[in-house]
Amino acid sequence: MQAPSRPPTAHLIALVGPAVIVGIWALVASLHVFPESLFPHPSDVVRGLISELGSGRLVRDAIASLFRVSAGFLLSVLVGVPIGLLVGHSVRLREALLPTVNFFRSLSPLAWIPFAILWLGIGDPPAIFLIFMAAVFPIVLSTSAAVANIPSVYFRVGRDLGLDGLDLLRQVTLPAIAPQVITALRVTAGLSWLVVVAAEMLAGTDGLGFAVWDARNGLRIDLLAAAMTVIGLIGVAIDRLLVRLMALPSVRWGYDR
Amino acid sequence: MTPAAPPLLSLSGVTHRFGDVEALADISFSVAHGEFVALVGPSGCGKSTLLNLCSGWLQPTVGRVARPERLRMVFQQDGLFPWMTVGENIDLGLRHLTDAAERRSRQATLLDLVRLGPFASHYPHQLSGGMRQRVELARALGGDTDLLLMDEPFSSLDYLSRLRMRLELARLLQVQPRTVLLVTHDIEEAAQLADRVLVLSDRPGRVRNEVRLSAARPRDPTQPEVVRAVHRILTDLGLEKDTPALITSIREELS
Repeated sequence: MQAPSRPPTAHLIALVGPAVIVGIWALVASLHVFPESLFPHPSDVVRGLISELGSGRLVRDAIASLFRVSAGFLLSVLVGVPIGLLVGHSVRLREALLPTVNFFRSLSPLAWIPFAILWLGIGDPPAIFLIFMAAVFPIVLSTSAAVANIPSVYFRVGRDLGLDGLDLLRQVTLPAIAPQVITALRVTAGLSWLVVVAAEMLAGTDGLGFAVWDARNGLRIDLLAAAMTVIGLIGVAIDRLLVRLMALPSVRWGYDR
Repeated sequence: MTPAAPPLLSLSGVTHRFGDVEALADISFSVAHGEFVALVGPSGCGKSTLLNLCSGWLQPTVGRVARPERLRMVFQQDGLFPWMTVGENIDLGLRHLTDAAERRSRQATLLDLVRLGPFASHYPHQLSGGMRQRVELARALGGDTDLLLMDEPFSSLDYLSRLRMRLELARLLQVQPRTVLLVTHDIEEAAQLADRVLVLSDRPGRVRNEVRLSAARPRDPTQPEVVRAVHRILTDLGLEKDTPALITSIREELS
């Protein structure tokens, strides 16, 4: 029932994709199919990456973006999970609120950018607000669905065993929804990382999104590609981090069917 | 069982409706302290509803249910919390014990009782169906309650595991006596385990008949009294002709 341990070299196979892409990219760039001002060579990008990392600018941008995502995402979890718990327990509340939640979930968070800037100016607040608007509704929706789908037998057993109030929440409700909520967190964390880049492009003076915008304005396509590479890598790292939650022994049951 | 002792559980004139559908009609019976009563009947006759009325999960439309304040229910399947290990599940059944050391030793005793000592830190999904049911029994027996309500506890198991679990239950009840109300569609199971089998009719369920058994547990499924009871119940349910042929032939074989 445990995943067979793979030899360490097995992870190397994941590098095949990037190697092929960089290979073709280098080939196309060397053949000068496109003008050099529009299509950077990978070696230029690596050089740009090293200089930007060395100057500390890319690191500062990455930290700024990560801070915004952490703040916005945490806020969404702190607000979204409790609301999801309430809504999931009550059919009435579900009927009353879910259409509205669905409306906002279907509204692209990027559409909020003008209001975010008008209301909150530029910098951290508008970015955090946009991430919150992107993440909180899916979290409410998945949490409430998970609660509504808890088999009633668990509550009956809980009652038999004398569990109520906070004990019931801690011992039954929360662990019962944990697998589904973790999946939702993974999806919304990814979503937040997408949104922060857009937010910083239009409402920021730093951050990786701003680095993309700034490189484009300065016609530094090498730095543009370097920033994109970092954005992608950090996104993958965030996902890897959250996937680890799925390996907790107390939630494995939710994924093993 | 002296007549003076009040029954542990009693239903009088219980009728239950779901909307327009009458599930149970005028049910009256009682379960005495230490007794093992089984309820059998065709599917859809309201057996599980009856058990839910006994547990207090449902309130009867008409009639009265007198039950002890606390009881434990054993479910058909997956009543264990999958996010807890076997040990933690059993420990949850011991919440009434405040002394941590006593709780630990009770947990170990219960694990040994169902012969799952080495599996304390396994999760339910890592066990077979029969093992899971044994954990359920251990958790239920951990309670300081006398009454156990069982809702088809072995019906998701294969036939051989079911036979084994019947013996297991009989053995556990010898060590830890409890009053049991067992709902089952498995007539043989009822006859093998119960002191009294109540046969319910088709919907709306009524108590059609009562079959008493006096042989000591554990019983074999092929023991004459068990076979006779199975025959009696099947006849009550209209699934066997009330011909003494079978009984006569058994008698002849035995004599």
